[in-house]
Amino acid sequence: MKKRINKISLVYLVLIALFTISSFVFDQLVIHQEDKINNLQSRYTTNESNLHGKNNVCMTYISIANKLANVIYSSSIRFEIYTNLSNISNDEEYLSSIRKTNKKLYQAYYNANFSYFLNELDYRYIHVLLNGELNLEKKYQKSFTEKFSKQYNDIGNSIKSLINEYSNFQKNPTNGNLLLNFYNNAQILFKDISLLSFNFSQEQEYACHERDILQNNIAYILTDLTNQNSYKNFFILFSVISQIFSLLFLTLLFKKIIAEIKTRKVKKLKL
Amino acid sequence: MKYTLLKNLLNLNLIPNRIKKYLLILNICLFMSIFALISSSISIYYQQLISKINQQKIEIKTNKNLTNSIIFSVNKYEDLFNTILAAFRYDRNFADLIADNTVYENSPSRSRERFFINVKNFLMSKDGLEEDIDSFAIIIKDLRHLEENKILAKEDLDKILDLQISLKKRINNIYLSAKNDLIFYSKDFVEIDEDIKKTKKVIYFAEAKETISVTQKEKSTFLVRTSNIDYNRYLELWRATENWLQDYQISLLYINKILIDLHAFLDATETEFAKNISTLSNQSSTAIVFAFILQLVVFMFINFFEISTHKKGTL
Repeated sequence: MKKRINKISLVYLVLIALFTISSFVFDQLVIHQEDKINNLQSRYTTNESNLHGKNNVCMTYISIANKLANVIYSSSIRFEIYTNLSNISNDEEYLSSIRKTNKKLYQAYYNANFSYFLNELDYRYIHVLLNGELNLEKKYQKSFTEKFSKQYNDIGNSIKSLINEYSNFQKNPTNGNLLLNFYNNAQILFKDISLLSFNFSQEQEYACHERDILQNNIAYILTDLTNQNSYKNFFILFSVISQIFSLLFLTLLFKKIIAEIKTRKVKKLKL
Repeated sequence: MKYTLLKNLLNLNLIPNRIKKYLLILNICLFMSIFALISSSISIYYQQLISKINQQKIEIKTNKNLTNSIIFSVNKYEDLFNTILAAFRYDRNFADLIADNTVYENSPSRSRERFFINVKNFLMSKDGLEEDIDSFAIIIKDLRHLEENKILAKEDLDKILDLQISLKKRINNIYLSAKNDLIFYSKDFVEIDEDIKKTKKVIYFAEAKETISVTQKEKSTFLVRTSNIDYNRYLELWRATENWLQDYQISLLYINKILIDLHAFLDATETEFAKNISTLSNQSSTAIVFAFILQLVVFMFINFFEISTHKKGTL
């Protein structure tokens, strides 16, 4: 005997099919989300390592600019004092009195101090730049050299020539022209170091801006990552729910089939 | 689609005498399915709440990173100011020592080297300092919500804001007083603010308005400075600058204190969020257990009546 399936069973079957398909769809969405999350995580890692480098560049350039400004600040004041006391003044009477009374003593004292001062300036200048360069990661050292090596070398040479000029002045301390030349060149040197410090500030502005962009990107990626993770969790839960629904309707279908069999048995017995 | 086909597909070999047992098994399956459905719904509801908290946690983490970097910069800047202030005082004492060793009592070095050069050198960084004051003022304004959350006293915040405003005025006054005695060298500085490039002139070096010439006198040569600068006036300006430096350093320490408080506040909020997430997870588990017990009771009632009805039906 052939019997067509009744309406309720058909509805159950359709529902089972629907929920099985939706479970499959949600499973696929979970896989898709997983891909997205992996993608975001790799972007996050790349940005984070770049951020570390850019932050390093930004902080190093700030540090170099400030240290160079500090070198100028403390060096130029000492230079002024030494130069003034050895030979420059707006009071000739005062200078004459120094020269007459303490000439040899002052000459020896300031000569020693001047030499020490110039060597210290040389050391401090090299130290600041070298410290900055060594603090940078290798990939950023190249751009550092490209941008600043010319200015850096020129200033280094100026310091060396200033030391030579001073040794000439030392041999002939009464030569005013030598001292004037020495004084003017030192002023130009301080100006050049200030300009280098300014250039570092300018580069720092760019590096810090790039760092800020990376920071914003990371914040955006982190938010996106959280969203995608929660979407993934929801998709897993919806997939489970769909599976449960299909199981539920399958059970109901079984129940319906048993009820049908039972009704048929009763009908047979009555007949 | 045919009923028999489905029956064959499912390969059911139902024995009529055991229908009661089948019904019981199916009812248990139904019970399990409905329970799973309810527990999943509870999980989804709680997952939604946890997701919201997670998003807030990310915001807190971003703010914490930002605060950390600002604390780092402020600390570095405070260190630098410490050095500048120390050098400023050291140079004054250094000049003093040399000046006191000179024989001539009207030595020009007494007024000039002590005060003028210090102030001149300091004013070279005037533009950078003004910019920093502006940035710190912005940070302070952003920290208003801390005051709203009662982490920072209103008086403290107002005091810092007033200090920043007065500091800007004071450095401008020092600059205006010394402006006529100095030649300032400036260059275009490109500033990037929210991807917009702004160009402004920035001072990078300052020189005194003096001329130095070589003169010959009594078989000796001298370098002589000539200028109209009143160097004695720089004693007052020097004091004003030193006070300015001290006050600025204190303002940096204040900002540092606020930022550390903010960091602690963010830490506490993050911990609270973590606790909330754990509480929600616990609540979700409890709700699922409660739903299970309730459903079990209902299931037992229904099952009892259904089976007894079945028994009556067969009898």
